[in-house]
Amino acid sequence: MPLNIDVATTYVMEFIQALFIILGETYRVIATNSSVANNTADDIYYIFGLVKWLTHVGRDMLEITMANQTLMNYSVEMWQKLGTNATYALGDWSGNHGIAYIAKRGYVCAQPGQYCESYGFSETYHALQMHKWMFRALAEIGKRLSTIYP
Amino acid sequence: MPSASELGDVMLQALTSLFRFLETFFIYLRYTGNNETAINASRDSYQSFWEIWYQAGGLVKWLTWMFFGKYGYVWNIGNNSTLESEFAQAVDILMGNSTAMVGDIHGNNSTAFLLKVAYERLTSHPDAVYYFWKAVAEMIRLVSDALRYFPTYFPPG
Repeated sequence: MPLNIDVATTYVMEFIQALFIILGETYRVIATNSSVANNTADDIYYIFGLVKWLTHVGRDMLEITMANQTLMNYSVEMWQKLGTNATYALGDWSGNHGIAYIAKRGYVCAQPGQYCESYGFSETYHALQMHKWMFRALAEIGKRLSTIYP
Repeated sequence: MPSASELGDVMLQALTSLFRFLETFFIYLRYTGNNETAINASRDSYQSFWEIWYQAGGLVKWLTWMFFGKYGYVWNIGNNSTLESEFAQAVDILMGNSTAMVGDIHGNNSTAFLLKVAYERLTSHPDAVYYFWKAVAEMIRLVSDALRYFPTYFPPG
């Protein structure tokens, strides 16, 4: 079959489905392996450390940008470019451009009798699987916290 | 192993840094929005912001249709017995694990535990409270400043 918009749309859907599958698998490992669950609960402490320093770097970068006219010009230009091209980057209201076009094709293509009909089902199915394992994994982490952090 | 109070300290330090980042980010956005006219005289303040805002609406419209429209992804759950039972199982797991996942009244589990350890250390970190309100104040300044240019970008009728 030659590559057309419906085939291209299924590639996008398969990619998103693959993200659900790999996330679901990650959560399944956390939920079913107690030493992994312990280590994940342990990681919370270090993740907050990462957040602290990451936002620190971000704030310093913004302060340096605001204090420097050249960087500020670039910054304004960057937002301006995104603003002028917002139709092509994000999309338009009739869904003919940008990400809105991809979403519209996904919606149209998954309608009954259309080429991607089965993809709508399997993507939803894997999204639900991911949520099932996510809830179990979060519960496994959640009930370990008061033991891990005495 | 870090103790609960050490975890609380790190959480509040992270939140302080996050609020300070947000405060600076809101100032930066306000500064950038007003500089658009200064750097490029042909453009008005906050024009990029409202251009992005308007087109993002189109994106949201089509994503909403894709998820919630007729024959969309969520529609499938209500109209397909396999997906319906999968969804019921997901809700069931969520309900069955809510104590461990969300927390309990004593704050011994999950999110409630994290909130409890942060709350217990809050008086030692007045910075977190200070920068929280600073971030809120800058957000209000940014929004009111940007809304000032809303009628210019979208002129009435």
